[in-house]
Amino acid sequence: MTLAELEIDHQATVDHVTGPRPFIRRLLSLGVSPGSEVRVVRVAPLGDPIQVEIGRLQLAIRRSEASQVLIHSAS
Amino acid sequence: MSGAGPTLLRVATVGNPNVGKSSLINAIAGSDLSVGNWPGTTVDRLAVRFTTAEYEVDWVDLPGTYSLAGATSEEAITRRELLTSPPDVLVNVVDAGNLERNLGLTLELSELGLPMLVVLNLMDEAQAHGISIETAALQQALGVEVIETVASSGRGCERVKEALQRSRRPQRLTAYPDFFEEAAAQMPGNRWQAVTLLSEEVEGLSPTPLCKELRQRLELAQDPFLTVAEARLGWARRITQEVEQRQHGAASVTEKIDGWLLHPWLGLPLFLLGMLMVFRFTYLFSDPWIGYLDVVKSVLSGWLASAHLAPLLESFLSHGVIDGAGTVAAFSPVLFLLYLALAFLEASGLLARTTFMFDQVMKWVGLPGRSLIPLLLGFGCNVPAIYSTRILPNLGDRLRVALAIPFMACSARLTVFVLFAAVFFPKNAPYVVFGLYLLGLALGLLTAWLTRRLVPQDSDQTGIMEMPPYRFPTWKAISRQAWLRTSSFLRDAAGPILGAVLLVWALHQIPGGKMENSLYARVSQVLTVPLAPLGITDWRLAGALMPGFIAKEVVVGTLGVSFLGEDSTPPATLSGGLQQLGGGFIQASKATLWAVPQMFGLPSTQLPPDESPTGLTGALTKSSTPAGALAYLVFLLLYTPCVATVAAFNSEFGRKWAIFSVVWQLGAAYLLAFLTYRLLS
Repeated sequence: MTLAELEIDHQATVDHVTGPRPFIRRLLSLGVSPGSEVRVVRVAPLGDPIQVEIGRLQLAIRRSEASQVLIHSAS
Repeated sequence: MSGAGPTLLRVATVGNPNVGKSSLINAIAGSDLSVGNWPGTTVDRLAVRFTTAEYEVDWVDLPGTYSLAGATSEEAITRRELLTSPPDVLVNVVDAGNLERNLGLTLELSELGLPMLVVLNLMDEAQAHGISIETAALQQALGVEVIETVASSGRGCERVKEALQRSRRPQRLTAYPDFFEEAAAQMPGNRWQAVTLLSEEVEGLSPTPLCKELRQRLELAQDPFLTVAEARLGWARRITQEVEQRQHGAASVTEKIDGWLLHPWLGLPLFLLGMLMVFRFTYLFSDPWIGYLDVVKSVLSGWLASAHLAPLLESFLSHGVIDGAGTVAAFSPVLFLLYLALAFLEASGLLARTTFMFDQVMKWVGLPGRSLIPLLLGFGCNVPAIYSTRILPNLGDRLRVALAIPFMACSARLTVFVLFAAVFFPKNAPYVVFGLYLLGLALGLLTAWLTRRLVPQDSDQTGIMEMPPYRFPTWKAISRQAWLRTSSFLRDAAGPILGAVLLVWALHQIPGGKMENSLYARVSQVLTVPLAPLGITDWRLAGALMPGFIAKEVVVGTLGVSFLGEDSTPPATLSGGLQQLGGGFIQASKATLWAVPQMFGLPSTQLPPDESPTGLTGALTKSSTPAGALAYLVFLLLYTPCVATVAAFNSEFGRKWAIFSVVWQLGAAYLLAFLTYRLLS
């Protein structure tokens, strides 16, 4: 599944990041790499973007971009 | 070291965005670098010089970056600086609460082989989150000295200063897989250059044929870019696990605040309430002082009148110089307060939340969510709104938002709206005014949408954004920033405003005698020719658009003079004038105090009272039809807001775009005023 499909308050582990190089670089630099744990904190009031917690960091990411992050659910 | 004076020590700070690099330098050097709680405050190389006992320190603050190899301007600036003029000491500032992620850059920097210090900043925040770090172990793992600091309070900053001279090259570097190390060993240059050239294309670094060949061979196994990233991130993760202890505490303050502010239903109303408070704050606290400036102006003119100068000289000083300076000065209370509010939004972390909330809305016009802030500030005053587009990282977005801003009806335009609405549409005045605001907003958004192909876009733009923890900014930091911005406006705009006021004054004086015969009246009459299709046929209405170009604040006053004639200033005695100045000051101070409880009162839905000269309403009724009056208001809403806005535009985006925006506004104003008049008559 992808990060865009993860439900609020659910935890998952990143498997793979796809997309253009600058996008991957940006995610890597923010600590989103294969093996890192992510959690969806909330969805913006208008439905997009979503807020994702990674470590102690809070990220806002658009659904279209979140769908390029492949994950597997922890549970 | 010889005794021939202090040696020059070149220092550079590098670190992730929003970790307190500028704060650290300010704490060490007592300097004034702009500090904001949003990533990207420092977008250029900033330098500070100071002297210690042993050194003359030249300290460069580089923009926040996650890596040295990427294509963003922050990365390019940092890379260029570190490669072309490597500093004597590299100070890597690290967020103690986000160690793992920050170490990615630390490990990359280590490979440059420069003497280095790691500063663990934001220790207070980390501790509040139940995070503790074994500094000695981290020092061991990195092979460089590590110093804990809280830059905002100055804790540990002295130790950074002392440690500069004993900094050394990192002793431990990231180990890459053997096949990669073998290739790297064949490369010239420092380790960073070898690793980077093997793993990706970097602007400014040209790979040798050997390098290209090695890279191709590496690519057979895995994308070398990922090989490098995985090795560094893996090492950063292992170090972090070794040196960091976390206790899971209660939900942080930031989480609690976000629970309210970003709530699915409460978030939007709370945001609107917040913006309303910003405008009430600006209006309530600036209004008494704008009134006081009028008192100062009339006292100065009164003193002039009692000096028995030649009439032309008196008029020049009173209606040219004093009025011009007064117009400039009248901007400053509003500007200062709006800048204060903006600085608070920036430094507290609220700005990032706005982006999160409105990203979806602004996407319709192809802009990021945070562009809403400059647009909304435009309703207060267009000038700070134009400068505040700097909160947008992308130049193309900045320009498009700036082109939209002048259509936001600023508070100065309200005075004219109120007067005309009361005269021509007494029953529907609030709707007319509200409708004008909406028209301006619609046209602004339309402008942003239309220009989306016109301006360059960054290719590697992503919607990913960090949401920093809330931080309560210090009064000193935000007031200093607000003052710096206000004073830079006064410097930039004083000339154009004063010049324009003097020009209009001169038009009134030539050739002398009655106003109807003046050059001003004649130029105004010429203006009625193109304006006649809009239903604006009275030369006095047409003429007021000229000073309206200087500032909308003076339109009502100009109309008063054109319709009713100049009142002569009553002479004032020295003591009488001083009394007025003192009394006015006390009154303004009292009104400011009174504004505090009013801030929290319910907003009134009524329009502010019309304060135009008595007699003007009667004279205006005969000057136009209601359709013509509405067309006049539409024109006034949409054409160039003021010369200060043009000056701001010019200094931010250059002459070409400033001219473009003026022409675009004039065209839009003319077309929509024409349509308004045709539809109504």
